[in-house]
Amino acid sequence: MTTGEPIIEVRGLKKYFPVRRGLIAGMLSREQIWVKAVDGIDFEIRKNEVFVIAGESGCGKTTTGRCVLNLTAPTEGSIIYEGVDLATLSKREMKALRPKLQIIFQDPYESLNPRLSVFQSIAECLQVNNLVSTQEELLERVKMAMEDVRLIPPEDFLYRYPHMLSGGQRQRVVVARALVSQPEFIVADEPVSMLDASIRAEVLQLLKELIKKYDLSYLYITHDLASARFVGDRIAIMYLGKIVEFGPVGRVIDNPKHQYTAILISAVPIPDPTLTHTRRAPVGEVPSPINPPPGCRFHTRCERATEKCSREEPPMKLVEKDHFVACWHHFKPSQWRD
Amino acid sequence: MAKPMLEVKDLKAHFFIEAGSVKAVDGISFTLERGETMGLAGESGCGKSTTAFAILQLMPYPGKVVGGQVVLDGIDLVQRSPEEMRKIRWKEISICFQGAMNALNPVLRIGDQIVEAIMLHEDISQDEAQRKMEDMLETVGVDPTRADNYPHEFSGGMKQRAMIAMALVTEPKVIIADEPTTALDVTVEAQVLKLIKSLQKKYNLSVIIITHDLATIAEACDRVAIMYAGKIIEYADVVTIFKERLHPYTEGLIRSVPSLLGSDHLVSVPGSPPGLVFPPEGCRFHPRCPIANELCAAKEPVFREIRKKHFIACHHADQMWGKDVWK
Repeated sequence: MTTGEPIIEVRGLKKYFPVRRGLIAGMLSREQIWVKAVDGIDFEIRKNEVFVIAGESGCGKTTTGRCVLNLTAPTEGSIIYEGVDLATLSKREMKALRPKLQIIFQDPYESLNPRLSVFQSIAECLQVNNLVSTQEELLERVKMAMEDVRLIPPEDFLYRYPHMLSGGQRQRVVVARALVSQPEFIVADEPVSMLDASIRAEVLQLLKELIKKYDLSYLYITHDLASARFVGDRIAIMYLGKIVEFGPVGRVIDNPKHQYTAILISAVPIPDPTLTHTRRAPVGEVPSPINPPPGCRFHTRCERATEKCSREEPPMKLVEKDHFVACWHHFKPSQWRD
Repeated sequence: MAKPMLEVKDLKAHFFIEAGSVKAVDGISFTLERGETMGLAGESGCGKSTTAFAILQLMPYPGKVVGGQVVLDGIDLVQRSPEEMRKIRWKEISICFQGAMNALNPVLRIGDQIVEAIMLHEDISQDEAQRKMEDMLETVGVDPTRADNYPHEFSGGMKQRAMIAMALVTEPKVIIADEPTTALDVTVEAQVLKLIKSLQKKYNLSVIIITHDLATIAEACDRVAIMYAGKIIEYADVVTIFKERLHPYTEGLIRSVPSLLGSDHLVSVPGSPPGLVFPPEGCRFHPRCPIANELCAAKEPVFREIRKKHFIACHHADQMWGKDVWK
């Protein structure tokens, strides 16, 4: 499905947030403390693919998504789009590119302005960026986007306000808002996690269909591996600000190479009471990203960890076609059994 | 067979607002046996949390239990005075509220909150209560030395464990867990469900788990009631619900969830759940149902036992065997 040619390349991305301290604590110690939310990650998103970043809360996946669109300025690293490093662009230059690079936020109850009608919400992007010249064209473009997300007929919804819409309809307005400027790339940050199960499927299917229609590529951020498998082509698993494994989504889920991926997968409940599937969970809690463990960040909770793991950080290496892992003791093909 | 632990008969709980009465729970019946875990599943707004509040006689304003019975071990809770209920709650039946993050008091230490619950319901000294609290924290896997911490110093999983400790510390016979794992990561969710299951065995508890997550149900429950728009539409043991369900809504709900093992096509149920001030006439699901006909729009289906311990409210249940209505 994908041509293999990258649309976005992320190199050495880091994002550190300063920890705010009280006045006295700040005066007493000179050193600024940082939360290392994203700590040196590399990946590329190919044209027409859905690239998934998955991990537990606090692993840095949302920060990564925001940095990729330069909504949060990265501390270090580059994001290459059409030969340009987005991290070096000014606000004005970035604004010119925004119509091509869009985002769908997690919570449709919070990401729509309650005082704007559906029409106003969707039209805003076209108006702000001067993408249309007449009122007729504006209305036409908004209606087209609404039809594409199946808010049909658009006339019924144009002048409604968010509180007059159901959760699924709201999220479709959010998708239409991202589509109206005909973007090439969309970051979808947990787009269905706030929706009810029966509507979730509809939005997931819609996102998939739009790839062909709009010639789109997605960065899909989620904690839900089952939905990742449904929409995704490739997946990267993050733990404490680092990517630990990435590759084709089916292969990573069926045949994980990293101990953390394996545990994350076995922790996913399968809705079938007749399966004797024992869920495993890693021992203990995720360490703090202020002082991440040295060496491999997962070594404190890993049952395969050796002394080397606590000393040296494992490099990302290719283990199978298109399948990478950062682990000193990754699973060999026959080792992974549930 | 022994008397059931909890019997809910035709329970109705409505909210009275300006626009009319919201029929959040509108005549539901089920029984919960001793040592059994029951799942109450449905989408947001179907009335599952209201059911929990109605059972405990904790209906928030402007809500009220307007009919039915909640028989706990032979006593009808609906007839009890608030004073009597205060003694029954926590001693006999307790609840683990949804969103442990917000249900704990942020300005009190975790340990003190649990001690308070003990002191209110049991006639023992402060020291004994303290000891009991520490034992309970240990049981749920929280280091008792952390009892002096405030909720913000706990992770999400630990707060949930503390909530469970608080619900169990007075040794109730029935515990209601409202979305116990919803805001948690899968890895933590696995730990918490495991904990609930082990505690249930240890104390021979009857548990009601309220959730919208079918995977949690499949994993932790013996029996499942599926709720839609204030009614239970199907109620059976967990294997029947997942393998031989008959209600089109149950079918749609289960097939709308993507599987980790891969899924080509997901069912999406068209439309959205109805408002409950003026719910649809007849079967409440009929506007979204692929097999609805005039009968469904006109007459409400009776909640009946179609075969042993498999209850359903659907006019077409008899013709549903082996049929795929969501093609």
